[in-house]
Amino acid sequence: MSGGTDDLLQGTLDLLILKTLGLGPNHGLGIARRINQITKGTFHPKPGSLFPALHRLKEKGWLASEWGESENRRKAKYYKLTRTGRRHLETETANWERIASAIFLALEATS
Amino acid sequence: MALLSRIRNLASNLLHRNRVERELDDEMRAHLAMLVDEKIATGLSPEQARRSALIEFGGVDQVKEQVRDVRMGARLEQVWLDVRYAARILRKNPGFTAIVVITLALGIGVNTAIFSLVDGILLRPLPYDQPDRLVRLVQSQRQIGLESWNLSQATFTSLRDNTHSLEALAAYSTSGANLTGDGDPERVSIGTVSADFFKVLGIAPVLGRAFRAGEDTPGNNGVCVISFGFWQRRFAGDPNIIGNSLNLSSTPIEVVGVMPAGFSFPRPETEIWIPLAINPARTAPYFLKAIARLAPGVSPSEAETETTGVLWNYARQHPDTSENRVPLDQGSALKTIVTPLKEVMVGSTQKPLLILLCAVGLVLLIACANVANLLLARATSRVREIAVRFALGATPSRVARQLLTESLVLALIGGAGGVMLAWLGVRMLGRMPTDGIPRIEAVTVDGRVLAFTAGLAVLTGLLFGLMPALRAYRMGMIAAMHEGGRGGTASRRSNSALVAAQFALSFVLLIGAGLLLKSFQRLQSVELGFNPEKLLTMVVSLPARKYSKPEQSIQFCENLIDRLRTLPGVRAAGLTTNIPFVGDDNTDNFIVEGRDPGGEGVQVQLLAMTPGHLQAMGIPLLRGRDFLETDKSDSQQVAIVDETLARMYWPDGDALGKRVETTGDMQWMTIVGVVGGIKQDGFAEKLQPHIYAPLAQSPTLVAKLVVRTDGASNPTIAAIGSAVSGLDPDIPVYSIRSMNDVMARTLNSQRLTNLLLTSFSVLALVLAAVGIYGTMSLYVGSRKNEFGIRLALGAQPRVLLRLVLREGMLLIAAGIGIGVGGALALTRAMASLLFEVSPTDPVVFTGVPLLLVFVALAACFVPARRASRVDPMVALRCE
Repeated sequence: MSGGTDDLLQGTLDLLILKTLGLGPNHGLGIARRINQITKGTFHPKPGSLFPALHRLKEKGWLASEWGESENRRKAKYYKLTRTGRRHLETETANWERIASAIFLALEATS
Repeated sequence: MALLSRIRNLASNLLHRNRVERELDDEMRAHLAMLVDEKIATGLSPEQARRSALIEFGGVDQVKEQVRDVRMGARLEQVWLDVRYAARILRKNPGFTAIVVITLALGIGVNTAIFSLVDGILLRPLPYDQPDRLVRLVQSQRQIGLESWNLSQATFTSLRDNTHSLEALAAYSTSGANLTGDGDPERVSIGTVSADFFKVLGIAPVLGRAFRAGEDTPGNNGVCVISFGFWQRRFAGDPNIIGNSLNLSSTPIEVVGVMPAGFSFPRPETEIWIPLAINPARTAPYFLKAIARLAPGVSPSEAETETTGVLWNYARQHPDTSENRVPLDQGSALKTIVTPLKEVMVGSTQKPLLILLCAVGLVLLIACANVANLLLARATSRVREIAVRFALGATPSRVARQLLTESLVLALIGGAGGVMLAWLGVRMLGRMPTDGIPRIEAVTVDGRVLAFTAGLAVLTGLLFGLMPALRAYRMGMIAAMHEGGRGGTASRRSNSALVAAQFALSFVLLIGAGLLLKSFQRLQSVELGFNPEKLLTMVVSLPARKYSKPEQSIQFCENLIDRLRTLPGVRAAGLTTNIPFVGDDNTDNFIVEGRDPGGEGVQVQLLAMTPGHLQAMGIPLLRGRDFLETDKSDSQQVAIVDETLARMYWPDGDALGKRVETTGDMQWMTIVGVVGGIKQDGFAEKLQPHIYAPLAQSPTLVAKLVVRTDGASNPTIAAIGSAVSGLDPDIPVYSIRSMNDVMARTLNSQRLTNLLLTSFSVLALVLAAVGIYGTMSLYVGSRKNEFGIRLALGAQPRVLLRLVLREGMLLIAAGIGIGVGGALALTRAMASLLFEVSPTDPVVFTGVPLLLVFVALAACFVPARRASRVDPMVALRCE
């Protein structure tokens, strides 16, 4: 468990979810585990922030959901990217890279 | 499409709430199940896995609540849920709900009712076209005592033809005429108007036409326009009425138009409009009232400047007129005054209405304080419920919102009750004597008023609901910090503050009501100078055509008086030209023989009367004699003056035998008697000087009858009616009223203000008493244990009683202290409404605090006695 990840910026979590689902449809627990994995344990989204984010993204039309069966033959709700969601992921990724490099440069310059 | 998906989501969230909820439930369960699977896979026992999964997941209900919060339409749905929850809670506490709703209904009801008055009378525009451009125009020359003066035919014509700031100027005066012909003879109220009258008001006839230019000149004015009501009443709405003739005072007048329903200017009872016969050469008398429509973009003061210039030009061209009484080149104050018409019509009611509006505002504040107190008291007992809601994942703002919703629901129910009360109130108003109050007929509870009430209810709900909601919010924040704790002492402190504030507000209201009541009492006990008891007044009008010679009307009046005196039930009877208190007004200048006519220019009331009129009115004869039958038109011209005048000119009491002149034709009248002064226009007026002439020497066509009766007036009225028709069957008797009614009418507006303000003050006092009762009960309840222990240790019940009473009195003292300050500030604004009562009247300012203390003591006594009778055992067991 890593501290300080609960107050993950909402936008960041949204982007991470979109990124994760860009790799393929997944259910809530799978998304949480995948985020933890691809951020090398930095982010550990809890249900209290994960589910509201998923529902919010779905209401915005970026995600779709359907009931499916998990690896362990459990009933699970699978989320996947919609077409607008994919487009949004692309623009947001570009935005994020720009901001991140700008902040990185800024931090470099002052230190 | 993102938008489409949003709408779909919103619809599905709102319409299929159960399905959406079930899915959320399933999703949570599936997630948890997978989490357990995962834990088992790491080697935990199913039991341990389950516990570990639950810990990692956090509170299922909290997560669900958070998801609900982000849903589309979540707010909307929550409001609906909150409202339903509130309704359930309120239904469960019917007693509490009823008290709150009744309190609010009273508070909001009186506000709605008074607002409907303010709206109908003050706010609503006059029912004419572009009413903000309508003005009244008068002449003014304050150096000769004429602040506000009507126009003469000459000044009207001059102003009408030479101004550009006025789009149109119209003159009018009012009169009455006897309508004969088909049906019974009746008296109708006439507006005699210039041709542009309807154009100024911007109202066109529904049938026929308005007057044409030139129809307001002598010889061309044999036409009339009738009111919608008259058309319906007399002609059953006959569509072929145009072109028919009416027989008005024995003259045929052709009907050319019918006005729309509801149009009645200048008087509410005006039914027929006839053109004036304007003769531009007549520089006197000054009997024309004038209204005008300002040209677009012109302000009243601009119009005043221009018309004053026109009036000065007129005065220069007519050097012998009253306009030149003070020569123009010697700093004459001659000018016109242009006032917005609405101000003229409702100006006098503005202040009383605003005071009433303030009063009901205070009542509502007191009601809010009561409700807030009740809610605070209840919030203490709801601590557990609220704690459970926090535990189930509700955020502090969510709980606060829920409590606020409850308050708003209460306020809206109270508002609905208030509207019903207001509706009843306005209906009751219709049954009260309200004539004399302008535009009272425009007062209704309509959409505008309802909108006001709805806004007021929401505001009220926020006002009294905010404190409990904020307290819950704070409680939630504390709970979130895992500190726990209860806010008990803060609650009592705000309770006390609210009660003190209530008493302060009630104090202000009671002082206001007390001052007005005292003033009203003073007004009614004013010395009138005549005796209004068992006095009947009525009017008889003789058609000018039939009674064209003065001898004819003198003869009629003498015959009538002779007949009246013989009627059973009649003690005394007289005929005159002016009856006090009805607005009859015949002021003019006069000269005293041998005195300089210039000077300050005293205005005098001129009246004519028959012998015996003084006796009928109960006006005392102080010196000299009454008029006699021998004072004929061809005998010596005589006059009677009143003491007010006599004291001004002959302070040594030697008025008898002196001569005065009033008509300008040097007909000197010898003073033969001095009588007591009377109030002519109203209770509050300063005594005006009067000069009486014998009716035989100053004949009139409109005779006012004054009859002192034995008591029962109805048979006497019938007998008088037949006496008149016995003399001339074509003459109606009208405006039959008792003198007391006539005088009461002038006080209608004050009486209504007093009644309302007094009721509001009593209401405020009751609410404040309930407030202090509740607070002291709460105080005793919270210290029950302590009282029990003290009693067990031997304290005297008397001591506890005094302790509680003292606590209550401290609140009252604080309230009264603040109230005195508020009252001193507010009553100063009332000074102009008071008659012979100072705004800091010592009787009122001592009586009201005593009343408050007495009421508060009574309200505190019950809880105080409860404190002194606490059973120690019961109190201790409670703990």
